[in-house]
Amino acid sequence: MLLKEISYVRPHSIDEAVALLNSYPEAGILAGGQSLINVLKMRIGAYSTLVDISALEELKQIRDSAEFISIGAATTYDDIIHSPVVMVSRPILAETAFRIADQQVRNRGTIGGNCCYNDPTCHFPPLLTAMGATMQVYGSDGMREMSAEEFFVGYYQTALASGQILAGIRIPKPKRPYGDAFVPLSVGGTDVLNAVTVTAHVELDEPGTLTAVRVVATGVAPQPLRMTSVEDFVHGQTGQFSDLAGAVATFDMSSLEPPSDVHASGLYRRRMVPVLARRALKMALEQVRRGYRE
Amino acid sequence: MSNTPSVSRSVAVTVNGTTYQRDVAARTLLVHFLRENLNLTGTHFGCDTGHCGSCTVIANGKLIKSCMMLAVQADGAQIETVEGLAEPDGSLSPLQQAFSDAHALQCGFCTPGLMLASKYLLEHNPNPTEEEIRRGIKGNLCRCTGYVNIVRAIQNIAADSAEKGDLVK
Repeated sequence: MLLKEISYVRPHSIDEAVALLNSYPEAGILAGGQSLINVLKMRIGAYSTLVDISALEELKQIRDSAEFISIGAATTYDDIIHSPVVMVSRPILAETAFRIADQQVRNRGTIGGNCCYNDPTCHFPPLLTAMGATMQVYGSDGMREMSAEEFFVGYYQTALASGQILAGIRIPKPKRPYGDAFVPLSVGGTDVLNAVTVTAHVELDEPGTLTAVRVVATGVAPQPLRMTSVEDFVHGQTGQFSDLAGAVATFDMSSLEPPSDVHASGLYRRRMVPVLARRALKMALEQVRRGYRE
Repeated sequence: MSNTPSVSRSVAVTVNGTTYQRDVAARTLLVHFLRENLNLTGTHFGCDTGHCGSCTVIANGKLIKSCMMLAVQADGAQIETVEGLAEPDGSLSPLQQAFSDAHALQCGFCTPGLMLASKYLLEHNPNPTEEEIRRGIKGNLCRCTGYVNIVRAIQNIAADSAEKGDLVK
């Protein structure tokens, strides 16, 4: 389908990109385009101008430090999958990117685009929320950081203001044994579309108790939802903790009002949350007990 | 600002080794640019939603769907399409021959995209398992063959290349 007439510009730096976004308030940011081009084709959204950041090398770096991995927003899924830094320090990022769509989409689609689109079926919003990631937002007043929870505010909505760019994502490197899990209910069983996803993260502290517990459900609420009662129940338990049903039962599922659509009814989505939450916790706990991730 | 948005741009795109300089509207998809501006109609236009993979090409060494990329984004890029697969004398490349031998096509609409996906797969994984082949061509839909003969063609060319020790073209 022919797109509506649109203006295009390819800035040479992130500063120039921000300046362009501030000069053209109707402009949108184009990176991999694997969601945006379809949105434009189907007239779901419209921009008068596209600012193409996909060629900016400064937004495509994966950097390692003692405390964090930093991933540029325009880094493709395929680059995350093949990053030695990711594989050594936080392999769940590569494992999750590997689930997305197909080779063609993974070669173009970016982690920043996945976050900024923030479709409830997107892979990275719940994962980054569970990992305690920090979103680096760049605007005309410089770099600002916010937590993933602050960033993902609602269906297709982020805290990104007009004239701002998501420049990168900082992911902590836990200093103690930890577990990460990403458990989707995939329509068709092939990760094409995740109707509901639960992600989990746990760490084991020196005395052998569970800490930094985060359990996040998506597809059932406007934003990735922290299941705080489950987290509180697990926090402080020993590493041998196994009462998954008890932990998950603390969460009031009737408070969820997930949408119904062609892929799954709201009732089905709600009923799958405890199932997926138990699986995600189990997986994360198995990793933490081994003391390393396989 | 030196760089201002415009509704059309002059682009230089190298396709199968030939560089084309063209003025193109910013809203033009790469697949339409290839087919209508360059008359390279081997790249097919199927679903228009990024699902079918018929428009698959290789851009700067990466397998992509050309209906999910703007032509202006390909400025300066090296593109490989199905027209670039055959040998210089016009004879079929080993990959094309393998598709023909295994009867890996019926109507042929998906074949250009599937051959580029196969080429990319074998360049990155010269000896794939059946599961890896099926995963590698997941982005390309075929409504005729049921994929069995396509998988067989890829297995045959992988086995041949392993025997001869040469790279798949």
